[in-house]
Amino acid sequence: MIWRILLALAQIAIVAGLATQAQWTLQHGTRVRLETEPVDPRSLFQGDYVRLAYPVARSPLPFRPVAGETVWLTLAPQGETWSVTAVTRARPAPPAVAIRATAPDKAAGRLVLGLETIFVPEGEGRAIEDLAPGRRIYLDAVVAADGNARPAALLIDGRIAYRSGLF
Amino acid sequence: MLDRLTQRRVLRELPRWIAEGWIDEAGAAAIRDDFARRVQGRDLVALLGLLGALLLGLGALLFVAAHWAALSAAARLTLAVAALAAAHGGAIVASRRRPAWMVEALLLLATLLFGANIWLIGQIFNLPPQPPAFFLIWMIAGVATAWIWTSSAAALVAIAIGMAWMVETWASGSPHDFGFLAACALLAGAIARHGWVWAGQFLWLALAIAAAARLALWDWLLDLAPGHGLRLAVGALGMIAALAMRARRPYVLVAPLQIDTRVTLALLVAVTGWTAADFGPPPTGILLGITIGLALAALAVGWKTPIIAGSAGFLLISLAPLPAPWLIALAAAAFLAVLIMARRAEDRLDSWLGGLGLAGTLGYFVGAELLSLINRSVLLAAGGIALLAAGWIATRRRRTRA
Repeated sequence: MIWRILLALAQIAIVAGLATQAQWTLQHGTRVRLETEPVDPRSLFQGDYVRLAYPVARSPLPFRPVAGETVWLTLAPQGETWSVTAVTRARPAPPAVAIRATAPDKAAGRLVLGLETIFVPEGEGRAIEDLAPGRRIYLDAVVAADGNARPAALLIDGRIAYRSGLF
Repeated sequence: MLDRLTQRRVLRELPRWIAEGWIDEAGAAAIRDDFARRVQGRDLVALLGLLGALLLGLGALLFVAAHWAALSAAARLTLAVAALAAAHGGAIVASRRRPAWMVEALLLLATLLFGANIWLIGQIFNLPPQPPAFFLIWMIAGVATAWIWTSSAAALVAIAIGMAWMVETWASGSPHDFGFLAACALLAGAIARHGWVWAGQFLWLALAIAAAARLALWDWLLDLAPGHGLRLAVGALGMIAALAMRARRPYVLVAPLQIDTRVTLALLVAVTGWTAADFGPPPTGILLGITIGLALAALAVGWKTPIIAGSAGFLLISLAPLPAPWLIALAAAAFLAVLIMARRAEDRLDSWLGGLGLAGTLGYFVGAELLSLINRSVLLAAGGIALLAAGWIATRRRRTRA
């Protein structure tokens, strides 16, 4: 019986742990704002989402990384958004704000930032994809101490359209 | 009570026992009647319960996918965690006084609800869609449930999730072999501990199916990484084991239902057909996929089992990138075909399941046209609760009669 109760508690603890870790990153990471462009696919288990592409993920690379290699993008604020100031193999020293990105499988592909997904209620993904050209779409992201970045909020014309997290 | 595998063996032995003079004709007839009565009654109630739990769990997964904005993220997560706790608590309480099928149904539900919980967290925090690590966490949770509870339903869900992980990591090119092998080792341990011969066979076949799905993608073969080679070897061994088992025609028990290796062959057919569909744009690829799938089905079972057609039809139709009216027409035609084939079925339960699979396909696509995800999740949950209640009432009536 004790094992059965422990199993239930362990599963609930895993769920709570995943949620707490993600919420912690959201609240304590460095917040950066990136320019983005949406497209609209669908996940089997999680429903509609907007797939985001970033100009910073197309930054010219001073070296040729192998597929899956970690690449560090150092960011700095430039006007309304943050831009890439350096692309390196080694992690920049603090206090520089740097996102850990992954090199794509194909040479012409974009870097993977871990910020490519915003889940939306059913049916709303298409509306975002069809937004008229010229609308300003930004993503507020948080960068954790280890360089991993997570989406915090999607902004359309300066207003928060979707937000990550429990609260 | 004897399990169905043993019952089949006993039934096969009866003529020899009569010939040897150990039992008479009347005794043999009594044994046959007893087996038939017990099996039909037990299977129907267990089927209702497990189907109910499955529908309820799928309803929860669709509820997560709907991303229902009327409830806040915190409220949705609280609801999902409470449902998980309730399913486990219900199983613990039911294990003391309630029938075994109810415990099994609640554990199946708990395993599906755990998946719903982690997918919900991925959605709330906008993590990358369907990360392979989540499949692994889900699989390990299922294995732990199977191990601790001796739950065959949880073991089956764990195997199915393992298959999904293999396909997903192959598709995304991000292998995590160590975690997967650890999960498989845990599962193999649970299988060995509980003596689930059928689960061992099912695990091998599942690995073989996933390998077959990728074998058909030639570009992957040209880009063989060490991790892929390992899985390919495992898959090839599984294929050999499956063929060897098929040659000897052993029956694989999927407790509490009795479904033989044809079910896994049906999946193999469907996945191969689906993969073949990648070879060309619709409708060429789809037609090629269906043709290959049906040809394999014909080779495997000689057209005597509707569940082959049902399972293959379900997967092929649901994955086909065709407009909804065509899908509905296709599902309706396939359903009619299964009804005709059911008349020649070897096994009545088999034909019921085959028909049910295609009826589900038809219902799903009609529902998808008419209903939103949130409404479909409510419909599935309501159907699940109704089936569980039906199973419960059937159990009570049986006890009253006894």
